[in-house]
Amino acid sequence: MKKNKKMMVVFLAPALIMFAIVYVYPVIRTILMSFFSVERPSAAMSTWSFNGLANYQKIFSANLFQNAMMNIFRIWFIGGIAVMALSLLMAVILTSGVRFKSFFRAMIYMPNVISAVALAAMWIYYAFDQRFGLFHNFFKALGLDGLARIKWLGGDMKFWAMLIAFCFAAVGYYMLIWISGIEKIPQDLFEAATIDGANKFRQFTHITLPLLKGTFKMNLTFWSINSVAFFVWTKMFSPVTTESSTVVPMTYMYDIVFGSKSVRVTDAGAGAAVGCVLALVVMIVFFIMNRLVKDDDLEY
Amino acid sequence: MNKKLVSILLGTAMVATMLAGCGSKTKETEAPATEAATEAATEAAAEDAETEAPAEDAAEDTAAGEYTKADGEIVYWSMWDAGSNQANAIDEIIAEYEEKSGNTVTVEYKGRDINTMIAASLDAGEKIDLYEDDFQRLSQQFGDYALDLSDMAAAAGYDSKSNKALTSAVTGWAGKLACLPYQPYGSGIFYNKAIFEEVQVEEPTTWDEFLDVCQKIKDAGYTPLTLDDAYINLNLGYHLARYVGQDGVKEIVNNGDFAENEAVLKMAQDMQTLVDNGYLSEYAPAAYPSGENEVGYEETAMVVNATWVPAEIKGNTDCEFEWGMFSYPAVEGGVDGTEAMMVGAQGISVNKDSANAQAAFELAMEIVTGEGDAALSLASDAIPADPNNSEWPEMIKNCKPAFDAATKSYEWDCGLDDNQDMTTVITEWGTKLFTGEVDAQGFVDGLEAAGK
Repeated sequence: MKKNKKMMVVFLAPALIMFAIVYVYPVIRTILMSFFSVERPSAAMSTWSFNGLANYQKIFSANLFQNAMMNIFRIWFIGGIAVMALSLLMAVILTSGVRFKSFFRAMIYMPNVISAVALAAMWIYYAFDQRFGLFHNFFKALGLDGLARIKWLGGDMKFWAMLIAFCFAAVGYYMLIWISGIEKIPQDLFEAATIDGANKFRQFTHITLPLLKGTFKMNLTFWSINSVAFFVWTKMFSPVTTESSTVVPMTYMYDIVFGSKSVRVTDAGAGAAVGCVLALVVMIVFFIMNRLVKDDDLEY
Repeated sequence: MNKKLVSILLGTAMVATMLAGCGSKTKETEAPATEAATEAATEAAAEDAETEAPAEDAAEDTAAGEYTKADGEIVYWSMWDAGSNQANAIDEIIAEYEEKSGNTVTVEYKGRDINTMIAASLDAGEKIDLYEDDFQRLSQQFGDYALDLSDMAAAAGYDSKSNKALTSAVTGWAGKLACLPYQPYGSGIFYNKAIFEEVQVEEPTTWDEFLDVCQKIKDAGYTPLTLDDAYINLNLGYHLARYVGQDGVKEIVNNGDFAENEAVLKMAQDMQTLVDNGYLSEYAPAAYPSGENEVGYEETAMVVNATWVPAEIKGNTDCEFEWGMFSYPAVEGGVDGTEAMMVGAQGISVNKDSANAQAAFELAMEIVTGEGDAALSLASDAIPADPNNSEWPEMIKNCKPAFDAATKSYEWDCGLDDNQDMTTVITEWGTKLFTGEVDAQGFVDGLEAAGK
């Protein structure tokens, strides 16, 4: 078929123009803004004043931003291990010929179709509540008063409570991706292994796991993106004021860009710097991941 | 050839569809263009409105029961959620205003996140005549966008219809009357009157009296005081401000003088007394709002909060008792006494670029003064902004004496949040202090280390 360059331009131009306006321009503006003193994100560029790396120095010297980065790392790393392990376990169980597979799959995935706001409210009021919550009543019924008195939503425990709730909601999503990966593996590999005398565990460690490298990479990518975008859960667990136990970079950025009850002086330049730092972190994570996990050597 | 024609048609259709998709944007850009002519005419009027003489004329019109005719609709962005008590009351005020003035008002209820939209929308030239938010934010963060309402207000006799403490706070922050404050709140210690009567105690005015009240309440089998995690800094800030005043609190947090200023240790020791003596709820600091709900369950007698809390607790727990309120107690040797109170309000600003500034101001006056303000106050269980509206909602009627007696105002958290970098650190150490994880000295040492 003859290529018509004019037609290509006609068809591509709208998409490219839109891409430039809604993606490229904001990215460039944000990067530029991170080197300027800017009060509001919509402030005209003529009002910006250059201040070099001062925005970066400001955020890195702020206790709250350090807490936010540490929290997001813990969410990504500890939560990541928990979610990947649990979701993989569920996926393996559900693909092993267990009965009522569809039912369990739907049940485990269900938190993903419920709004995060509703889920968080459920956890806060019905599970973690120190007086009426599920955990309190459960431990009390068992006579474990020490555990029943745990302040799930107080001090440092609040972070772990939030992480548990977040991971609960996330497991189903990653489980589905694992299942799709497992179902792609040809059955004859397992049959051959069975004939050779390999038990289920050896089949899992020697066939399933190695052949899930690509799926693992995909899950890790999605998990990293979701972790960096962590926002709603913090807002639900700390609804009135930002707290160091639950703060994450996105909420820190939100507060300094738009202000809050305690933040009266906004700083869009510092907010842009937070955005750039996050983008850089994600890029580094992806770079390391691509170097460590290679899936292009697999063919089946 | 045919293929080429079809391709061109398809391409054209796609571009046309995209343009149609962006229709509203085109409309927006067209609108100012078509408005340009009328703007030129109304701009002069708007500018005139800023000068004294025409403002007086307008006031005379208003006084005579006449309203300025708006050029087109008045666009009003509200901070309330559609369907809320406030929104319903505002809808009624607007309907009455429309009928009396012949103007059309388009109100958009943006909710509490309005603070994330105002600046960007105004920068983008969106037609907004009136907008609302927290009155301090309107005066400081968004002060540049607001029209100075001083002349209009003077001409309309706003001085006699407003709370001076609030309006002077606005002019202090913004250097002009950047907004009309309304839905004010006062703060202090809210309590269940029935428990006070049962225990036979009076409202305390000093810290020692307060501790005495706590002991008697405890002896009667109730928990004296509760606290939510969201209000840790309010409790700490109030108490510290009693010792050193709000300016002193700001100095401490901005200079990191937590160990250098002995008032911090005294404050922490007083708080530790509450914990050690069992005056504070065993769940404190509880996850908001479960702490304040203890008052609604009639288990706990008091909570340090603001005038919205009775309605909030009633909404959460359906409690029915009579509320009492007293000003935060004075401490021995303290700079401030019960005359100082953390107060605040929401506000309504008029866009400085509004072509309907005078009409917008008149609409705002309908909401923040007179019958409109009274209706809004009763509907939302909030304090009326107009001091001439002496009838307070039943739920907070007992807060009036303390509110009226306050002659000095504190900002949010009484200045403790003035150093943004320290706010969450103070909350963190406050949590440890209130849970008994650290003692008063540990609290001071922790803050001192973090503040340096």
